[in-house]
Amino acid sequence: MSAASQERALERVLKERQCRRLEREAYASVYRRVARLVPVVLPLAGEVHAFPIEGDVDALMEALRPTCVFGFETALQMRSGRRMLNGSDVHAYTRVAAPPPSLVGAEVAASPLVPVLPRRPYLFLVSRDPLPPSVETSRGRVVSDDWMLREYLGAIGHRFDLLSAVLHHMGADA
Amino acid sequence: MLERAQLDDLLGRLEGTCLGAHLVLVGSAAMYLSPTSIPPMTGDADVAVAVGTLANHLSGFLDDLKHQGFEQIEDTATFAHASGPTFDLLALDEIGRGDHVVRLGGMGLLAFEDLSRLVARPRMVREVGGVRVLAPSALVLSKLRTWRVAKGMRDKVQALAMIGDMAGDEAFLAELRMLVEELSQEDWEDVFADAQVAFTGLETDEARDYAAFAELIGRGFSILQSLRESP
Repeated sequence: MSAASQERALERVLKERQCRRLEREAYASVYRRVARLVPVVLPLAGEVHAFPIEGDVDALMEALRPTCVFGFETALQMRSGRRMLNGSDVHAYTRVAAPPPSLVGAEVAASPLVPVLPRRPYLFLVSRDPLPPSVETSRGRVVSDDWMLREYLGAIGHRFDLLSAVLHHMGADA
Repeated sequence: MLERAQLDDLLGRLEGTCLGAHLVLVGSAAMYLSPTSIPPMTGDADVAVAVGTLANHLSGFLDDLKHQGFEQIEDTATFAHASGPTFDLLALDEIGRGDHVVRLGGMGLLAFEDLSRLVARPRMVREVGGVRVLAPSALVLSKLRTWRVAKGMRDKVQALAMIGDMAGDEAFLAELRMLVEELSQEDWEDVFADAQVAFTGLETDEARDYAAFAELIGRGFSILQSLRESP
C-alpha cells in the first residue's frame, strides 16, 4: 500500500472510531444493557444442522416443542410477534438433531443465518448439551432474555437501533 | 500463509542486516514466538524499527536487504523475498502524534502510537531465540487497540483467543491488567466495545479461520471484562 493510500486508510479508521463512539453515546442505555454480555455466535453455539422447511411452519414448531428450546428470531417472534431481520427461519436448540422428516427436506450445508436476499425458510437445529437457559411461554420454551441478546450481539454486533427494538419487543426496554 | 520455518528464515536474514539488533517482531507473526497455541494464520510478518535509527541507516539497511534477497515493493514499506515470505516495515515514532504515516526514502511507514508506546516500556520487548519480539501482553493489547480498515476483527479475535489460551499464566494477566488500567476511560471503552463486536467476524471471511476457537475467544472476553471496570 502506498503512503497516500495508508494515510487515507488511517483517516477512515479514525472516522469509523469516532462514529462508533457517537453511536455508543447516543444509545448509552442500550449499550450499558448489553456491554457485559459475551456474544453467542449461533452457528458456533453447538453442532448446527440446516433443513429447508417443506411443511407447515406451525406444525413444525409444534412437533419440535416437546424437545427443543427456540432461540434468536424465532424466540423473539414467539415472545412478541415480531422479527428484526430478513427471513422466516426457525431456530431451535436440541440435544439430538432429529427433525420430523415429513416437514423438512434433506439436510443441506448451512445457509447464512441472516439472509441478505429473500430465500426459502430453513430450520436451523443447534445440537448442544446442556441446552441454553430458557423460559416457558404459551407456545413452548424460548431462550432467556440474556441469551437472546447474546445471540443478536453475535449476529449483528453493535446495531444499537436494532438492539433497542429487540429490547423493546422483549418488554425489557433499556 | 507464513509458516514458522519461513518466519525463522526471514528473521535470520533480517538479523544479517545492519539494523538486525534494532528490529522488533510485532503483529500476528509474533504469536509464533509467544507461549500460545493459537496459530497466527498470517500471510506476512510485521517488523518495527525506531524512525531515528532507520533514518540514520536507511541506505545501508536497504542495501543489506537487497543483499539478503529482499525486493522492495514499489512505493511501499513491504519487502518480498524470492522464496516467498514478505514483511512490512513499521515505524516506532515519538508519542503524542497519534497513528500516522512516516515518509522516509520514498516509503510510507505506518506508525501506530500504541505500538510505539508499548515498545518503549520496560520489559515489553523480549528476546526469544535471539529475536526481539513484543511481549505477549503487549502483543494482545496492540491487537485490541489497533484498528485497520481490513482485518480489524481478526486482530481482536486473535487477541481474545490468546487471552483465553493463556488464562492460566498469572504473570501475563498481571501485565495485561497493568496495561489496560493505564488506558484512558475512552480508550478502554473502545477496546471493550471493539472486542465485543469482533465476535460477528467469526461468521465472516475476516475471522472465520478462528471459529474453532470460539470457546477460548468467549473466555478471553470474560477475562478482559474482569481486568477493569466496564460500562
